[in-house]
Amino acid sequence: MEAATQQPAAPAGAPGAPPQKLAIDKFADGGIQCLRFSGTVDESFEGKKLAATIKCKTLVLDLADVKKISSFGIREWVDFIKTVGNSVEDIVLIECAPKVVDQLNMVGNFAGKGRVFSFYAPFRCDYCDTDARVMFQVDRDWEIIKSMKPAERACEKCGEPQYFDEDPSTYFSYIITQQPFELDGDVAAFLSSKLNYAVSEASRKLRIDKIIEGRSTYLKLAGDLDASFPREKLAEGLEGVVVLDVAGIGKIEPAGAAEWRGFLQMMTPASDSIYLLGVPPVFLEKLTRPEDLGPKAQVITFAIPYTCNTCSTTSLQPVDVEQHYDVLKFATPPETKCGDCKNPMVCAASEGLLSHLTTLPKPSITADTKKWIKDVRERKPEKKKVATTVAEAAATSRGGSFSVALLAAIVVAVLMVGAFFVYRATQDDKAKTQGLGKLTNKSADTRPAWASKDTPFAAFCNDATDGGMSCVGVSSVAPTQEDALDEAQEAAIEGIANAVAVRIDDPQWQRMAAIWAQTRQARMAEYEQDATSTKARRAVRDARKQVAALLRSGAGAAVPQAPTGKYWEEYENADGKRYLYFVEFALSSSEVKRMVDLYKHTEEVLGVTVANVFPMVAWRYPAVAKGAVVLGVGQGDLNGIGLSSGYVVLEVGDTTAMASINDALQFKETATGLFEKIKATGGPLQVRVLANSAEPTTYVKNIPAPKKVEPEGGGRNTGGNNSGGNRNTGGGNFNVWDRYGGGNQGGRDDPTQ
Amino acid sequence: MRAVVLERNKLVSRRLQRYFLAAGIDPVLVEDPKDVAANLAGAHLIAADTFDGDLVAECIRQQPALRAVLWTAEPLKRSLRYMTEGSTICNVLGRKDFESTPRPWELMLVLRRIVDPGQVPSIGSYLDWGFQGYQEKVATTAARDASVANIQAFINRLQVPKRIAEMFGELGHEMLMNAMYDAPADAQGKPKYALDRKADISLPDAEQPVLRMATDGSKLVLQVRDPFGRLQKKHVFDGLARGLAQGEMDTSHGGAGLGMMVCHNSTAAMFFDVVRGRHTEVTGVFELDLNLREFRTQAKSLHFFSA
Repeated sequence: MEAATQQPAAPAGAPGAPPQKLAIDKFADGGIQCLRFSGTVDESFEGKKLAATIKCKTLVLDLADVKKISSFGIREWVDFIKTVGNSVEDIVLIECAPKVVDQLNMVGNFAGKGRVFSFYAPFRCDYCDTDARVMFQVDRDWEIIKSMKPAERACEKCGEPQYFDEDPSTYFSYIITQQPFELDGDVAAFLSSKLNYAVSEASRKLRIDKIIEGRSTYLKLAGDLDASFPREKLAEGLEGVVVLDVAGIGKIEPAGAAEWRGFLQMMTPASDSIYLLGVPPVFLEKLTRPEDLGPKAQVITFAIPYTCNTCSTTSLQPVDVEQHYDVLKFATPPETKCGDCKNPMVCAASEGLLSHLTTLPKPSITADTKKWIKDVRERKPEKKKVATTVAEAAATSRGGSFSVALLAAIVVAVLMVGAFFVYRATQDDKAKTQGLGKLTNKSADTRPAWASKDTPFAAFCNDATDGGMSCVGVSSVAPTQEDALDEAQEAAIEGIANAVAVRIDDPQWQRMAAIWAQTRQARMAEYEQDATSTKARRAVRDARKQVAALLRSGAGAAVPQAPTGKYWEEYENADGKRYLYFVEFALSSSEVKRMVDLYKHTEEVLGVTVANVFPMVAWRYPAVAKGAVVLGVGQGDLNGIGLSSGYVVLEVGDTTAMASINDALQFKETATGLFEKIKATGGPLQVRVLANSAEPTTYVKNIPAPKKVEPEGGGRNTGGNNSGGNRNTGGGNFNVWDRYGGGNQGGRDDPTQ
Repeated sequence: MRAVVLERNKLVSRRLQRYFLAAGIDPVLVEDPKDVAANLAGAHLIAADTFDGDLVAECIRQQPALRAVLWTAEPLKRSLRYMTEGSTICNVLGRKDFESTPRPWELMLVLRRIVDPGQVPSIGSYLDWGFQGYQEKVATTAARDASVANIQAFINRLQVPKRIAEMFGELGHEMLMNAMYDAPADAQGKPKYALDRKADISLPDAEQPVLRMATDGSKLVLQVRDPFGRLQKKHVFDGLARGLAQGEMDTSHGGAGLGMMVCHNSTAAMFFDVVRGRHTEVTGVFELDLNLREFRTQAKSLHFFSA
């Protein structure tokens, strides 16, 4: 070999690390087991052996990190999938790597009886030489999958277009032979909450099964706990013994936690006892403190993670509080053994969670109740009739069992009112002005009636009978009066913004509103954890200042320039003088309506629904001063560009210039005009947005030029980025260089690809 | 040597004529299939698109000594039908479309070997001058894994998409598995290690395959040579035909062709060189100037040479 003899011995490249051998992580919860494969599937994979260890109802196979599959690996895999198919009811393949998709297309029985829920598609950006993987879900992206035309998308690194780097007709050939489906609620909850997988919104909606027998009620909840939790509806009529099976609860959002606490408070007076079953770790940590449980709720069983080092399995193991109370009160997890190998397992719960166990009350539950619980848990839930109207849904809920996902109309209403009250309730629960020191001065003899709550750094609003409202802001305990006044004003104006938000009854708009909820919650939590922290206080102040500025600039005269009421108190303690300020803004019904109309107004822009940027967005994107916020993406010319709900459009333009966007209407006019202009010549339409990051991202829509007739005999000249230059053979429409020498941009200019 | 070249596109035909002449073959250019029979007398070789495969197969039936070369712009599946049926069709050259010739380097390499079967090309024959590469002997299962890692490291150094390195790692693994586990046989011809491919093995020096990896910047070439020479044409063609059938995995006829499928999917051209009882050399070529999407859709080449 010539070159080898010239440069003998070692490879020209640095020796590579040995290939990653196959690692299989197991996660289990009840009847669901998830196997996560990473590395190379080759002859060393013992398919049948692994299959023999699987005992569950639903098997989820996570294949995102499969790097290579050898031919003998395929044989072992097919043995595995065939064998395991005999012992489980359902197999779901998730996040299949492109390598796995290749095998699905190539080997007829690679998936066995399994169904592919999600998979990755490879994309490539030639501009910055980056490969990316984009996940497709059969429930969410079916139309794109079916069309086999994944659109170009903006490269996350450089913003230039990335193209789908496979032959679509081959790549999607297996997937399109199966029907789209949604994940079962329990499976979705398990994947999203315990393993943090992406599952569809619909799959995470809370589902509730209810069984009533005499004075005992069993409620089984599965899905995410969020602001849509229908506490009033659910608590209505609950009495006697109430058993809450919360094993299927997934993510718990702050608003959901508040709803749950309210739910327990509402049902406590009428209930004899409330038992919580199968409490998952997150629920245990967040919602089973003594003040959460109240006088009547008790945790009967909970689940915490244990790892079997022999089987490399991490699974949630149930713990009976009564049985293990003596060890739990010392923050010690009970010993348990692996169900498969019988070896001892090691508790993988955090220290924080274990220390929380000491606060759990010792359950007192009768043998009869235990037996009844065992009976109802073993019953198969009845298939529900799908409620298609609000009346039907209401009737279904009265009948005992319903699916919250079906009660869209009711949920929206609950969400609206609920969210408003949540905001107020959370402020009500704050610590009062105790410990401020001695009251040494105040601006009036008596505190005004409108300053009914004195939780520092809070805001609350009261509805007026004429449709108007008044919002009161309370400052933090500030060192100067000026500081305190500013804080109180900004808190009150933020209260106005929040009150406007809950009055906008557009589901798309409410979904968008999620973009600031989490950030706000986190900032407030940081402040509440340490009210003396300057950093935490500044973060809240800065965000409120920006919210207030945006509301004033956006809503104009609808926001009163000056407060309708002011009041302050001066305290003195070891640190010196401190001030607590109260500010009230009263708004008429017309002012409120004007703001609601302004912000709920939407525009359709080339298939994208946008609204004026809402002031609370400043919590998420502090630098935002204007723009249009995306509510949804439908069919249209901007579909597939990469826009998504909650993104804030800042600029739009072409290759020559970008125009700033002030509001939704301007976005519509500018984008539509530009689109028509570019369509005549072809070229990129660029949209700069804030998309989950403080730095703007640019998305690009390449608009093809109208087709032109090539002059006879002229082969297409792709440009000479190769040493050979433009080698047009002439004399006919064939040009080898087009295909083989197009450098790294081959094919990208072809609008049909 | 005289060849009948059936090519309906006159421009392509003229270019083919040049290559044939350069390789020392006297081509008779035929544009109409019905003129083939009249020119077949005294010909050693017939070359045509797979589209005319039936005609080529018929010519071979009439003149069993006639050697045939096919080219195609379609998936290999159709060509394989003729390759498994006709014992003298051992070469299929992929081309971009019906208006293109096969790749010149590949066409010249095949034609020269047909003219002079004793001339076995070195790895440099697949590459442009100035290429770079390495070779190593692989003795153990652990060394196989290290060798696969070396392949990937070598390719990653070229700053090409990572998927190409992974694909060639997979190809190297497959080729080494065949050379290490399937090829070695005892004096009676019985496979020594094929029964248990999960077992760790350590090959004596005389049984060790040699792996060569090289690139000229526009092509990647991976070659594995074992010192046994037991691979048969039917293993390659039948195996690949089974693999491309895309049916359920059926191992009842000696393998599902999955190994061949891995090779086929990872390369633009595969060359199998067998000198019976002496060596089997398998060479895979990948073109770096194509993106993966183009690579997937282009027609693949397959060559089997034996002596």
